[in-house]
Amino acid sequence: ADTVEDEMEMATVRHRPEALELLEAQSKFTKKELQILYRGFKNKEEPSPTEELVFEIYSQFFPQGDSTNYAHFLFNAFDTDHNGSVSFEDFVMGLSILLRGTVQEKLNWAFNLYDINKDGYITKEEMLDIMKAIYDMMGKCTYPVLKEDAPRQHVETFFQKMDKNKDGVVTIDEFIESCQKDENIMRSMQLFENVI
Amino acid sequence: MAAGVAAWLPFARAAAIGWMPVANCPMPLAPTEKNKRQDELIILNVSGRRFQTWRTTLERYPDTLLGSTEKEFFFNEDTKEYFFDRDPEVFRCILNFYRTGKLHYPRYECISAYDEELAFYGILPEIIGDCCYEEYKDRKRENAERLMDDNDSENNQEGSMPSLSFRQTMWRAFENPHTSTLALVFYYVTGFFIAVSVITNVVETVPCGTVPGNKELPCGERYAVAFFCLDTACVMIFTVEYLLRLFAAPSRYRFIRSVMSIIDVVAIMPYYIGLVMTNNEDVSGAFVTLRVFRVFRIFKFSRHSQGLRILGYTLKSCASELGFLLFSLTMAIIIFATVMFYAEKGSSASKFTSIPASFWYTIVTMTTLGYGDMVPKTIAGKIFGSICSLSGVLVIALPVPVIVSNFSRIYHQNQRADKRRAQKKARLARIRVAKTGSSNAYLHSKRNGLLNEALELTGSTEDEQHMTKGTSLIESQHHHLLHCLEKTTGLSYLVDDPLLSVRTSTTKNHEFIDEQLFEQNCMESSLQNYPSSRSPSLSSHHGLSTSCCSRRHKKSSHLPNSSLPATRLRSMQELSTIHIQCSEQPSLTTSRSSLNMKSDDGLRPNCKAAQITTAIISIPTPPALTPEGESRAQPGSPGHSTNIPTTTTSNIVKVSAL
Repeated sequence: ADTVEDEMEMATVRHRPEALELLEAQSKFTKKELQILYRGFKNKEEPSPTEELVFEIYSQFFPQGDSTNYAHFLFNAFDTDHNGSVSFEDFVMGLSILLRGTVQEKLNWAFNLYDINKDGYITKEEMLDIMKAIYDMMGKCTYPVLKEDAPRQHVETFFQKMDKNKDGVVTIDEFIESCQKDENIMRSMQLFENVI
Repeated sequence: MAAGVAAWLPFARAAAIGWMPVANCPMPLAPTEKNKRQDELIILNVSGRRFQTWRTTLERYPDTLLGSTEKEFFFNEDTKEYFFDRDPEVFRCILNFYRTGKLHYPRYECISAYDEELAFYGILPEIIGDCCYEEYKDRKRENAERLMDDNDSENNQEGSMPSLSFRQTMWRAFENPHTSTLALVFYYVTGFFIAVSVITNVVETVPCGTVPGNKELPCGERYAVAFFCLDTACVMIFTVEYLLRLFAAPSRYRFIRSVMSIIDVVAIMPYYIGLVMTNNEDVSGAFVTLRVFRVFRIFKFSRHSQGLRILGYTLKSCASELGFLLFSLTMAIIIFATVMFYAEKGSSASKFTSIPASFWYTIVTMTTLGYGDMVPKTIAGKIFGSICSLSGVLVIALPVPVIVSNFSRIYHQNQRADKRRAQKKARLARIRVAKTGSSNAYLHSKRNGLLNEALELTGSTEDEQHMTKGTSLIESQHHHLLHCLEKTTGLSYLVDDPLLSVRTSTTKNHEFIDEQLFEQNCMESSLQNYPSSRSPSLSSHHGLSTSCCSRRHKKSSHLPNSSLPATRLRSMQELSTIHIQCSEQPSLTTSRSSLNMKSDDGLRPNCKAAQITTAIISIPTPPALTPEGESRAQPGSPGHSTNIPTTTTSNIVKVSAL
């Protein structure tokens, strides 16, 4: 009985450090970076972030607009196991891809964000939803004033660029291929290298 | 930004990668961390007690002492720690503010010591959390009043009056009789004469002695002359007093409208009216009624008695409660009067001739007076009469103690509610001012950022340092994020300033304005003329500049100008226009034809070219004069903060600038 209890104790004690090492191995962050991330992550009221938190964060950063929809999509992109909350592991893995991943991985992540129902295809409706969400974040006080069909036009441009075989949906390969051809996009992918 | 939120900035920035494939325009460059330091523990030694915290914790609030580079002044090289020779107890609260984002006010702490510490560390007291704010404000007000009283009594004792004008001295003497002996004498004399006047009014009506003719005369008629002389004397004194007060009042209009002056006027008017009207039999009836108003002289005592004033004020503030009591009483009276009337209708020679006549009975019965001049005679009447008197006991006797206790409760409650409302308004206004800084700062730094790019392109570096100071890293990252969103959507943020009634925007439209067109636009918008330059030289000027867009956008950007006083110029952001040419023409110069080139009214900028050329037309204010800085420099004037321009409401509330 003693040994079992001891084992259990040691198991619980050993649990935390293992997670840190595990995360270090799985993600591309160093231990220090993970520490910094965790401190920020833990500094809030609820045990783990929900969509509300993402919404709050975005409202603070983009006060003029309405971040509800975008927060929803973004949350779903991070919540890979779809259990309604983002654990620290999910968070770290997401950030690792975004900040330290290869361009391929980043594009993959972006595709995942746009593909709302995660079926492997981006339809025009999904893209329109995403686009509207992004435009909503800008808010009403913009110059020039936002037109009604601006998101739709933007989607059209996007599809013209990305949809190679013109079948109305964008697959992951089309997406990655088109993006790799576009210099601007390639360059902007490297933009946030030094965030942490 | 709020404490927790700053920590999430890396997350938001990383997620911004999601916009990249969608964006049509190239993204702005990210702000570089000039000296990237790993997060480290720093030691704060406050009078011997060591506190340790992460550097990034302190940097959450970059415009406080600990968050900015100001703390370097306190860095002790030998011990490698920051030494502050201040109170460690209060420092605990202040450090907790950095950690949790909420500033608390400890109750045991002296309010002025706490204020001093807050001022030293550069923290606005308005940030105190709701849990402690009321207490803080109450203590502060108490303290202020105490200091004011002390000052007053000091002044009195010293007798040192700065050279007030004669008028001001008189007013002071009137309002506060303890300022000088003359004032005191005046105070007592007027009090005496008020008393004399009231007593004479009373004694006038006492019958004193008879005259032959077996008729009892009131004293007023018997010694008519004597009384008349007394009355005249009193009225003289009152008139002189009133005129003196009127002369000395700082705001005569306000004085005339005040309650006390109305009482004064009402007190002396009957006499003058009586002088004017002679012993005319027709109007003497009216004249007699006017004499009733002489009794109002007794209200003049309220200047002499603090208690009367408080009572009056209390009644005024409990008016609604009293009103309700009156209303419910009226309802009960009407009900019972009706019932009694119909009950007594049958009996002969009944005094209850009508319902209004029954009112009198009802009131007398309900208040348990029971004069007995009207009594019910029928059985039904007696039954209802007894019900009336029983309910009268309940209706009257019960609410009175409740109302009395309500007086004090409602009095204090009203005070507290008004206080809270006033505090809240002032407080929100000040916080709004501080927050305005952040949104304006974004546009400001964006211009700075673009200015930097331009300067880098053209190679003049001496102005670069000018622009890069003043924004913290977190701020610049936040602004970069906002800028990325602008680029993704092809729109740009607009700051609407209702006070200035000028629209500012940093446009990224495609026309390169040549000087002529620019000046033309400016004159059309009736601006001050200022030199426009195509080269990015920094000519500073303090004029109002607006965003002069091209002809195409003129109609959508009407720019009414308002001439601002010089004081406001300091507090507003200068507006600059930056035109970025994202066209395929790599050349810096352009011609009129290019203005018409992008005539499609679509929002999508056709940004295919890699080159960005900027033309800077006007110059932002120097970084030292941001509204943030100004709001910090004026801690004691919450009222003034409303003059400082604010941005649109949806823009302000959510971002906290600290």
